[in-house]
Parts: sequence; C-alpha cells; structure tokens
Amino acid sequence: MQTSSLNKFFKLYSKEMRELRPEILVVLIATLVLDLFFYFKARQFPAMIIGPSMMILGLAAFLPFISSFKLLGREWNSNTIYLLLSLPAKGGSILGSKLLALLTQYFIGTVVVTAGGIILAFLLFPEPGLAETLNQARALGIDTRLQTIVSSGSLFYLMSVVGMAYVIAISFFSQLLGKLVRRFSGPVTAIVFIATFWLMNKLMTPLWQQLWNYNQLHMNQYNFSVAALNQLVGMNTLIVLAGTVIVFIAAVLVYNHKIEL
Amino acid sequence: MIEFKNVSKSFGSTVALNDVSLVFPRGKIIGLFGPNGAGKSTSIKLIMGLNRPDRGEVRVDGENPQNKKQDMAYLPEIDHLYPWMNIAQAADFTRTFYADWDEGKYRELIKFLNLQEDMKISKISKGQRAKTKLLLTVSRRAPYLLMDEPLSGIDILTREEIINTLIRDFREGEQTIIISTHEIAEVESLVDEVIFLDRGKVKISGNAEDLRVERNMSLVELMKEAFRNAD
Repeated sequence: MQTSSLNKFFKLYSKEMRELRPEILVVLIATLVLDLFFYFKARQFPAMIIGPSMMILGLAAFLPFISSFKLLGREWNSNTIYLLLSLPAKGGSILGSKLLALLTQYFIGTVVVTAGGIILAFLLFPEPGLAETLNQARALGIDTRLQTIVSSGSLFYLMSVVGMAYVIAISFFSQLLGKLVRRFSGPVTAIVFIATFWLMNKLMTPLWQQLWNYNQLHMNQYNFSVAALNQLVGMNTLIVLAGTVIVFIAAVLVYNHKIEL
Repeated sequence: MIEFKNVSKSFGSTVALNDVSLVFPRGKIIGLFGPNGAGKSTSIKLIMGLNRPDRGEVRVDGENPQNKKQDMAYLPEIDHLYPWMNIAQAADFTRTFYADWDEGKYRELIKFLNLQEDMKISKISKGQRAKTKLLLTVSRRAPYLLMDEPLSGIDILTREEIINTLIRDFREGEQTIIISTHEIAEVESLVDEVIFLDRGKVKISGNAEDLRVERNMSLVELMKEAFRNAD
C-alpha cells in the first residue's frame, strides 16, 4: 500500500515529538509546580511571581534551541542516521519534521507558561490593580482594547516563532556542515554557527535599516501608533522568515547532496 | 542490476575501494566476501546511497542509488533502530515508508523468529536485535536486500534462524540479495555468486558453483588460499 508524503512526514514528526517529550515535560512540570507554589504558598507576595515566571518562560523559549542540537546530533550518536538516510525521504521532510517538532515544543512551552502566568495574575492580583494599570496605559494614549492587545501580541509572538525557526535552521546547517568533517566536528559546528549568524545578519541589516527609516516617518516618541508598530513587527518577521528559508534550504541541500556515513 | 563503473572511494588517507568495476546480477544471492577493511561495507553503502563515490559511478537499474531507496531493504551491521521503540512501533515506522511492506509476512516471521511485538529495542538481547533488524528488512518485498555482516556477533542458534529465514523467503529471479560477510562458512550454501574483495580491489568473482568445481575447493578454502597468497 502506497503511503502519502503527508503520512510519511507525519510519521517523522511523531517520532521527533516522542524524542522531545522529556524536555516538554520538564517545562510543563516546572510551570505547574511554580504556579501551584505561588497560588497556595505565596499569595501575600503576588508580584514575586514575575521573576520566576520569566525564568521559566526563558527556559521554554530557549530549550528548543538546545534540543535542536540533541535532535540532530543524536541521530549520529545512536547510529539511527543509518535508518534515516536509508529511508526514501529527502532532507526537506527529515529536517522539516525536526523543525516543526521543535517549533511545537516552543509553542507548547511558551503558551503554557504564559497562560499559567495570566491565570495566576487574575487569581492573585487584587482586582483594582489590573484595572488601574489599564487606566494608566489609556491615559498615556495606548490602545488597550482587547482586540488590539491580541493582534499586537499575536504579531510579536509570531515574530518570536520565526526567530526561533531562524536559529534552529542555523543550528541544523552548522551541525550538518560539522558532520562533513571527520575530526573536530564540534568546533567546526560552533564556528559555522557563528559565521552563518554573522553573515545572515550582514545580509539582513540593509533591509532592517530600510524598515527602520520607513518606520521613523510614521512613528516616533511623540506619535505612537499601534498600527505602525504592528507594521514594523510584521515586516521584521518577513525579513527573518526570508533568512530562515535561505538557511533551511542550504541545510537541506547539504543533507541531500553531501551527508555520508 | 547493480553496476559499479570504475568506482573509487577513500576516507581520508584510507582507500576503501580502488577503481572497482562490478556487476551484481539480478535475481541471485551474492556473497561479498573479504577480510576486515576489504571494502565490503563501503560497497553496500554505495549501493544504498549512504556513500558517494569519489570517482566512477554506481547505478541501480540504470539509476542513481539515491533515487532507488524505495526498492532497497538495508540491514546494517550496527544497531540502527530507535532504542525507545518496541518492535510494533519500529514495524509501524518502517511500514509507513515502503509500499512493498508485506503485513502477512511480518506476522508470520515474528512468530517464526520467536519475537514479540511489545519487546522494547533497548531492552532485548543482541541476538534478538539482529532478528528484529532481519524481521523489518525481510518483511518487505523489496527487489534488493542488502545485508552488511548480518551474522556478526550472533550466537550459532540465531545464525541458523537468520539463514533459514533468508532461504525460506528468497524469491529467486525476482529478488537480489547481497550479503557482505567474512564468515563465509555460514553462508556458503546460500550464495549463487561470489565477489572476494581485498583492500579495495576485486580479487576473485564469479559463480559460486563454477569456482568450487574449477578450483576443487570450498569457498572458505578458496578465500584462505587467496588471502594467504596476497602480497
């Protein structure tokens, strides 16, 4: 029976998700323990939750980057690369499924930590506190409508997802180039990672500069506009996405044409 | 048919294959013999598309091996299965990628090899892992079956089971099996064609029966003599 490419991709993705299960559980358990601790044991100091929550959010956001090295490197360390390379699947599917799994890990981690923080804030902070903060923001001319908060928040979040995809793509590319040498694979990976990051930033800087200049015309400290801010974030996301696509394609080409056992 | 045309492959300063030209005929069991470092594993990996030749070319049915992976079932010497999987999960993973997966054969073989689907790869013995690799490879009706040292480090009873499985399921004329091993005695009765490799060169090749009759010795004796006289 012929299996569709989508089924094959989903099978690879499921395998990667299984590999990432311990890291995802660590973030979920840490969030649960922290939120329960603050809810039951530290109700009198609700503001204290911000620090530890930010730390766990940082962990949830940073772990997928660390996992990207584990996910690809382990294929060589445990010899499963023999299985992977013998499959009738191209680098796009293999690396794509890994990238999607890491972004899922990022999504689960950050959403759970953020949602936990928001719920806890509503439960712990006294009602006038939040309302007052919103009133103060309104007085400064900031649009505090739920629709605006959600749309701007979503755009910022999307930018962070694309940023994560960008560093993961560089991680894949540098690891694969590192695997091309028999000795000093680790140092080569590190050097390629830094060099690719530097080179891509050089390539993207003129675009960022243009974007910044354009944005300055529409928004400055005296004229804050949510629409202009959203536009800035959206355009920046597109620039980083283009960089991600370039590096990812380079990684796929290396996987398809250069990787050997 | 698999063809090597003036294939050379080196790893750093180590020459694995040196200007080798070979033809692996279709529908036969071919033994790829030679001592350690002769170039057997490299040949198998080149056929599988896991290595690329430095010079020359490898063709599988006239095509680049990279485009023929769906037609090849590969059993490497090392343990290449995900250790957290159990046999059922490993079979499910394999079955997704190959249209030639034969579920009936898989069910039959799992009983024949005394394996259980809930056995976890990381928890089973070396012999059971070898049988699991064989199960996943032979459960496919692949035109090419490539086996790299399938008997290495396996006890005598498991070896017998592996060989019996191969004999039982070989589809003559339809399937090509290439077995790379230095344990010739075990597979002598199995092979139709033989290729003896030594330090990246073909030393002897031909029909197994013809070679036995012509030289009046078994393949084991033939290998001993060939490599004893090697310069």
